Amino acid sequence: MRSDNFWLIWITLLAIVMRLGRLYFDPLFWRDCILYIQMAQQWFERGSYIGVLDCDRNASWIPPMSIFLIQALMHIGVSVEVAARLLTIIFGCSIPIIGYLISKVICRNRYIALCSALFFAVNPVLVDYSIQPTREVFYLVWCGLTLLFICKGIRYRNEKNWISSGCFCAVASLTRYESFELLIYVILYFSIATFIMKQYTFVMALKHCMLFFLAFFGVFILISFLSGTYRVIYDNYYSYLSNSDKIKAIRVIYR
Amino acid sequence: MFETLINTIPRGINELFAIGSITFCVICLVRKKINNIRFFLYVLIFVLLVLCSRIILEIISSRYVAILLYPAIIITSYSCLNIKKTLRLIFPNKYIIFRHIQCLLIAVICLICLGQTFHLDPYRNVFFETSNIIKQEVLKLKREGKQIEIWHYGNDSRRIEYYTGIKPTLLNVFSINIITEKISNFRFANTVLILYLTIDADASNCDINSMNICPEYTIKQLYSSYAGASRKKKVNVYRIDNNIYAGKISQKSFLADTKNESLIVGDIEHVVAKPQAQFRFTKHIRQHPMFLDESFNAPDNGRFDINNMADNNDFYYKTENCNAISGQNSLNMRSNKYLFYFFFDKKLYSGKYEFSVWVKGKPETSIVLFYNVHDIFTNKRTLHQVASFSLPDNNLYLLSGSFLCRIIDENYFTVGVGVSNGEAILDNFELHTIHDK
Repeated sequence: MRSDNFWLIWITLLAIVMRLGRLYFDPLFWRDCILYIQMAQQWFERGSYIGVLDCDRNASWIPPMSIFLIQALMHIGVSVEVAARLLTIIFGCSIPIIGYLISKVICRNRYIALCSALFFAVNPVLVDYSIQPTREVFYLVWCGLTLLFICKGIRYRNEKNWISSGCFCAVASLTRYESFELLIYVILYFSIATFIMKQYTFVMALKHCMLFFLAFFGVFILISFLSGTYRVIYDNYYSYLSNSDKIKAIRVIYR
Repeated sequence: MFETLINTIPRGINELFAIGSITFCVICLVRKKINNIRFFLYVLIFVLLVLCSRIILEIISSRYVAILLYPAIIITSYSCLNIKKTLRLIFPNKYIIFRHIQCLLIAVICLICLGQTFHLDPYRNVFFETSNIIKQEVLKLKREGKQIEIWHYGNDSRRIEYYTGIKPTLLNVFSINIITEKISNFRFANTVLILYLTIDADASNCDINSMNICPEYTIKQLYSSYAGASRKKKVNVYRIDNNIYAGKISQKSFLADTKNESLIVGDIEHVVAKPQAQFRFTKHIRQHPMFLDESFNAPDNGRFDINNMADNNDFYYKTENCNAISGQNSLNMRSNKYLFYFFFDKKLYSGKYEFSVWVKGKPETSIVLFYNVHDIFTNKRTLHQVASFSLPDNNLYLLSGSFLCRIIDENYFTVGVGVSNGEAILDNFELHTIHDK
């Protein structure tokens, strides 16, 4: 039996081929993709997050991570469509590896882990997510990494895994609101962990919990600042509101 | 709730892996023990948490359950690799049959997944085809100096805009009567209407061609196809040409032939010297340099309006003496970006009218004729477009459009004109009542 790395390389190659094949035969963007592409284009052109909000008039704040990544890749000189497709395919092809790692921590069986990786590579839903530049594939990668480190944290009970999971949970939350439910899950775990695990003391659980949330809030605020979303909203909130009112007024007049 | 559990979630994680997850439950029941039971308990808590939140929030798209792909696939893998032991417990005498069942199961799942991935929707190119048709129409019409407007019913307005470059107007409701009424009121001179309808396949019996609209319209079906393999929806694209009048003034005016009553909505020969009162503007627009000019004047029987977002360089107005189209004065309106309006004060009531104006100006200047319904109870105004026209050259044109206005109670409407994207001189505003024969 060859090593897991050998099989993982082949599984990743299979994932790439499947995604590229699917993209070749069905290149039409989904409805929502157009919105994200327009948002990334606006962010790139205006150089700030406020352009993103102008695309979706109902929005006062949108999790910016996926759009930020797409527009960041545009700085190398590719179009928004190429940047979006490239990123989603790269992220989509990394999901089998994340799935393999999670499976290995949960099941402690390399065959189940490799089988999971294979299924992650060929799952038609994942293949579709991996070629359409919506938030799903980014969300799945960040959530997958969060789950991986949560599993490792539960299994090995060390600080670095909880800190890592907190960091990735913050990035996931900046990709989709649904990621906040991972926080509920972590709170739920820490509230029952000391009762069901004998060697896991209350102090240890409290320490891990605090580290997780410190990492979460630290990374959340840091990325918000780095991507410019926090500052832009803070500076432009009132002018944005008045502008959106005016835009609505124009629409009424046109109607 | 059941819809979410039975339909949305299996679709979100793929039905195959939903079955795999159920198989896992069966294996647990049969074997009554699994390795790392505590860990699977954590997975179960996570899955229950996610399921509860999705059921409470009543998800509408299967994409909201994407996170469940992780537990579903891992559990399915576990099931595949433990099925042999389970079957051996159920059928202890037929062990040989199940010797290679694990590999077989994995291969079958992979093959089904491959099949599902590359089973292509035969109607997947519908969107590209319709977009190409619309693009070709746009090119053709541009050569003829015409404009195009898309009306869309369905959820694809963003995609239509992205693939065709034209922002469609969204129709909120689809019914032949509503579409007929909207088209009848569509009086955009020099504009061709594209109707892009994504409707239920059953509703396609509603034949747009048989609509009872004004005879000056010609309807042509450009495209018709199912929207997807499920054949539940159908995409229909129609081209609707209106032959509304927007011709050079040297041609015989059709208005001259009408024997309908002519209402004077006001003329622009009478001007007032302090025109600030005539402008419904915000404070910063009142500081426009043109208001500081002592000789500046404006018609005494109407009001101007522009969006508050306009800056002072965006619009300009003056009464034109030297280049007046007729009489002493003509309106000279300029607006670079926003629509700059002039509304007559004359109150009008229900009826069918023909509204016309003589216009000349810079090429590509947009002229729009409006009527503005005033609701006296709510103090709300609703603008309705009568006709729009983009000036192709410097010649004098007559722009005209008819409209049917039904006013209830004490409400009334006024008529007006809007200018954007250039500069135009306007004169001879005429409003005729039309009496049906």
